Amino acid sequence: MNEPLSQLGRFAEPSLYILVSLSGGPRHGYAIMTDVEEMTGSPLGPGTLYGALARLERRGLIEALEPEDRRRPYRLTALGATTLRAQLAHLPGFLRTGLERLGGDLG
Amino acid sequence: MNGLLRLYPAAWRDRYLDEVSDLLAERPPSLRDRFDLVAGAADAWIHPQVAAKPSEEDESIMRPVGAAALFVIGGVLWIAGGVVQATAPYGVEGYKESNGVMIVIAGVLLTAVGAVGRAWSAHASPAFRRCAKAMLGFALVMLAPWPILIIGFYGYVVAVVGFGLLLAGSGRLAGLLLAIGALVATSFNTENTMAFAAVPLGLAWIAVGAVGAVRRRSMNPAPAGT
Repeated sequence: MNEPLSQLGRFAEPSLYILVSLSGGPRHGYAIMTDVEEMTGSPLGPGTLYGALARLERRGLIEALEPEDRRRPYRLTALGATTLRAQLAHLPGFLRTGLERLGGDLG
Repeated sequence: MNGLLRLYPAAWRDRYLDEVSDLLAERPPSLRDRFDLVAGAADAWIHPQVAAKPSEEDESIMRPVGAAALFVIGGVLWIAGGVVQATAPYGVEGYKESNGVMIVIAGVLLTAVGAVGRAWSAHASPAFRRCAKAMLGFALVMLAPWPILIIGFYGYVVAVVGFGLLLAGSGRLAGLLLAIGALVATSFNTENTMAFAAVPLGLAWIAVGAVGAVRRRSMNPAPAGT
């Protein structure tokens, strides 16, 4: 099963950010939050972060590791990596189309 | 625990409370984060992603659906009694004359029995049990003649406020409606149109019952510390 992230509604975009963050290795919630903030310039709220984590975990795209104190790291599963690749594969075409329509280029 | 995390369902808190508490300790929530947590709590109720543990299944002497039925029927009786009483014609002494009060008392008894049935579980907090027992005790006092029944009425209403706040504190938002409805019901007056004050509490009982019927698991707040 490779369910597109778009089915996650308003959690689709935060979920993509989380998957990208975890593609660099396991991270716990706070580390994901700061990583996403560095990548996108805007932080994920805690309610949104855990709403998205719960959905990703339920769909088997990420998995929780053993807690370290009260922090629980998450890591990308094989299904999560496949899903992320599929999502990212669409982006260059999307980006190219947008820039072409604006009269720019990819540099 | 951050107070806003109490708004989340018990199953969600069992799974994520430690992590999110740690995150909030590391990064104190801004006003925007607080709104985000409230929205997240609403989402967790509407679209639950975490299943309740089997141990959270019903352990009370009354099945959740049984108590839910008593709450809903009791709520309907509260509404019916209030409406019947408020719309009754004024008698020769200038007071509303009807049997609406008897209907309300029936609603009081049913909801109190349901509350005791649900609270009598090994996992229920002592405060929750006390409120439920007080509700039933005062409901029985309401069977006494006037004016003693007034003591029963106000005692029941105060106990319902506590019962509702305990439910709300454990993440059952319908409990907050119950507490507010009970406060409104303190204005209940059999002699005039203020008998309509019974209606909000009836609606709140129906909401509590409906939530209990849908979730079909224990609605008992767990003892402190869990």
